[in-house]
Amino acid sequence: MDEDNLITDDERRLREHLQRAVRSQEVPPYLEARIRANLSAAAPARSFWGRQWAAAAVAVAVVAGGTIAYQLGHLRLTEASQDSYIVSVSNQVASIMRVGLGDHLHCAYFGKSPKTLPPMEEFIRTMGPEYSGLISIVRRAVPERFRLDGAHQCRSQQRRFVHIVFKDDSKLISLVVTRKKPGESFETAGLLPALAQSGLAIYSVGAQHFQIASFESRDHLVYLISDLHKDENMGHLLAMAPAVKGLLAKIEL
Amino acid sequence: MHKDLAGQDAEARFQAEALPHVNDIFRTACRILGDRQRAEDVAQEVYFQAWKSFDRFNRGTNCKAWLYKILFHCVNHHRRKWYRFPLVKENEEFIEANLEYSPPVPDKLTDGAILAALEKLPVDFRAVVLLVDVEEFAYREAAEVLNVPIGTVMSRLSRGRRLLRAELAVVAKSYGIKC
Repeated sequence: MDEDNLITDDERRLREHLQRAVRSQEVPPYLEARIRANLSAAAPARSFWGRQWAAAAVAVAVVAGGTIAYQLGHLRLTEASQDSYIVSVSNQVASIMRVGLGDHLHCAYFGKSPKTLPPMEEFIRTMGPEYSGLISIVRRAVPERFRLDGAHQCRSQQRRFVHIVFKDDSKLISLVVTRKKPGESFETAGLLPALAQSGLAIYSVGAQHFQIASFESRDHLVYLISDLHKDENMGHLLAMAPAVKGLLAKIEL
Repeated sequence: MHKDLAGQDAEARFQAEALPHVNDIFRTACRILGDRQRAEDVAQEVYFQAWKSFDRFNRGTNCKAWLYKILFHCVNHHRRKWYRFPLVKENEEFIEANLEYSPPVPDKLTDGAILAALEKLPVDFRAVVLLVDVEEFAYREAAEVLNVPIGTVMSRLSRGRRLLRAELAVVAKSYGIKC
């Protein structure tokens, strides 16, 4: 039965409209990477366990033990596969850039968005009074279509981060701020600034589909990381840099 | 982690046969669930379930249809938990109220208007329209994916299309577009 012959021209037109509309929807660029990361953590089931009863009994024992090990191991491997992805992406950039990128990947990219966002007061509380002003600075600098998805202080790689995440239907933007460790600086790390604006050196690098634009204040490293185009990411950092620097300067007094 | 040759072969086959359908799976999940975040979760679950049971996939058969069968299994499982989807009331009253007239499809509709109209279809009709008209599954394949008789697919498709046209006509009228 050729089902295509059963539809009228009008129905064919409707079908084409529909296909175009449904396929116009953007798919999150990170979805396939997440699926791959999940797959590498799990082995497909096998159907062959032998024919003899004795072998079957051994197999049952193996399956039972394996199931427990799998359950335990699976949890570790899921994290391990994420970690290995983070390492493979991070290795593409200088170590000082990994600081911000690692937190973005760990916290925003692989982290789970809350089903319902807490009220703004909760974000302000978890950000702490000295850094909470960053939320409105980022809000003003990123496009309207992005909505606040998280704002908190978190700890990773033996350091504390202030982390604000905005997202739209398919893209993520993170502002990551962390205190410098002794001697830490983009300049001393030997990076060349991509541009300088009002005396502020801005550094930029890409790794896979992530773009990182960054600058430093006296005591802080500041990163804007997203899966936007390089110029767009840089533009957003430039838009917020003076206000972010001003806020950090007050903290550093 | 070391994998044996059979494991490597299975992984390579899975990546070649199943992963190209990620976008279609996500978009269909989105249209059924009406929520991108949940669609992301379901798409990941579909692939996880598919990978775990890949040994049961018959080589040479339609991998996309197999993935969709898992998708609708996951969706049905979750929607009981997430939503109180009204099940389709295929009684005469429902059909009479909604399908008295089947207007032609307006020309100048945006993608957004079409998706909004699609969203208004009862979810079981929407599923059949998505499978047959968007993903171009044969009736038999759609019936297997949804685990319903082929006659049910055909009647839901016919009613779904007519409902969709009726919704599109309403949208078009609101934009001043003539059918």
